[in-house]
Amino acid sequence: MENVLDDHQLLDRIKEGDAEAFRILFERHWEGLYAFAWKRLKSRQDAEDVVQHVFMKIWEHRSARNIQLSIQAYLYRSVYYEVIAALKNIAGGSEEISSVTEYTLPVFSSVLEKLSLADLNELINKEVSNLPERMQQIYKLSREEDYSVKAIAEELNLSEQTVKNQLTMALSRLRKPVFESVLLLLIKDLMFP
Amino acid sequence: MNKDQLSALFGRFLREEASPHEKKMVEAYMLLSESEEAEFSDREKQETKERIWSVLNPYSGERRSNNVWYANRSWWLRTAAVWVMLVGITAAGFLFRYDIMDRLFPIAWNQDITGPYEIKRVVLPDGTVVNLAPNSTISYPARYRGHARKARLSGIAFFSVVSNEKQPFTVASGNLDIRVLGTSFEVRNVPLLHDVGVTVATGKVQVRCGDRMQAVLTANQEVRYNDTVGQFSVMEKVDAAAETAWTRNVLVFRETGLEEVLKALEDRYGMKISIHPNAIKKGATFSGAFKSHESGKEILDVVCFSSGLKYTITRDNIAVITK
Repeated sequence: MENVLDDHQLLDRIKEGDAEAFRILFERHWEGLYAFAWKRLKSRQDAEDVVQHVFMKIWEHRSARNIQLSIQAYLYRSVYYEVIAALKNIAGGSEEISSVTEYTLPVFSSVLEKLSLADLNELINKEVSNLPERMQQIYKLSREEDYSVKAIAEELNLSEQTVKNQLTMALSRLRKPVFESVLLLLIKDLMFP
Repeated sequence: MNKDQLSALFGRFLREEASPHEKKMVEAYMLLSESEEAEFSDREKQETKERIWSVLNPYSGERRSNNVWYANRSWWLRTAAVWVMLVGITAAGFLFRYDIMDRLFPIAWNQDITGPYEIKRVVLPDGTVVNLAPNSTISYPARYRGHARKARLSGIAFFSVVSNEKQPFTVASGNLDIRVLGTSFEVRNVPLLHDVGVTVATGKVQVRCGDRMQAVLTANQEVRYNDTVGQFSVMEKVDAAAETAWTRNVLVFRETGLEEVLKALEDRYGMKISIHPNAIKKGATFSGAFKSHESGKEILDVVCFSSGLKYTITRDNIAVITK
């Protein structure tokens, strides 16, 4: 079963309460997700919590879950938001964190806060420019023109399913899928149309 | 921004209430941190996986609810996590923020080059004026950012540096680094001569070669560094004004072939000059220096007069040189 079933088939089994399918899904994806969270949280404990939380939700809501697009993209999107929630909780914690906070926090600001919106756009666009052309096009329509998946499909004269498939295909062709998944996450609506 | 504000920012992001700028900040953070190194040993991986799975495993009785996980966490672990995160951001962000920005948004370098007879006045982004001698090249960023103002020189140049104590000005030339806060000085670095010289007109200049050798010069002092010998020699009481008199010129010719002189005029003033066959005697030369207030036409007048030549301007604005 490890190698035979794809993510969607695993998910179908998970829906039926198949714990073995759940374990395989976990084995397949936990490491990339953990690394993703660790890089942003710089804490083993918090990164573990985030990964746990994401898989926990999959199991708990297994019967209600209906995932259209790539499971990988779905997982990264979930971890993405869990990481931000964890950052929010850590930074907002009541613990006295000594002068380190006062001294080091201005840093987040000094790098990012001082960049203008134009600079930040440039920064993100630079990453986007490494994506395949079609994906860039979809990204730009979604992000800059505020198009929904449906509108993108109409604009590019494609079916909605094709827009989604293009994204998944592009994703799998990329050298560093994890990194690009992050970009995919920036695209509104695509995971949960 | 303090940690509460940071927390609030993440909160707004999650509630989709963040401003476009705040959204981009979070997105940029999430993107940038992807390039962080994350290497785990196989043993670490195995242990981590087991720890996570032990909680997840639907068949194990140990499963606790989400709330319990978070409540169970000892406060010092969280504290350490914040500390580690902040130190991580600090190391990458604060100390090297300009390096990070240079990597993300590199600033293009400009280059100015002078021809063999030409002297150019170049104004750097901070207002510093550089008089560039013939056959010299200066490179500098299109704009200055961060703690330093930098320029690279090959050849000879006279610098009048705009004073800014917070942003020292550094010229790299050959093996020397010349560092100043605001002053004027000349650097001569002619690669063939294996000799770099710095003459100070006003103020104070620090000259370094690598980490070991350095000299601090004041007005009318000169330091010379010989590449092959690897030694500094400081000379007192130089007449800096005389040494740097050339900076007021724009073109300097010393027994230069007439054709070359005319070519230099074309290059410098964008003139079109056409020479009538046999107008110029073989071996005819010209010597003279021209100042910046003189126009191309005035210089052409002087060159032609002293060489016994005439010129007419055609309708297409070409100067035709005749006998």
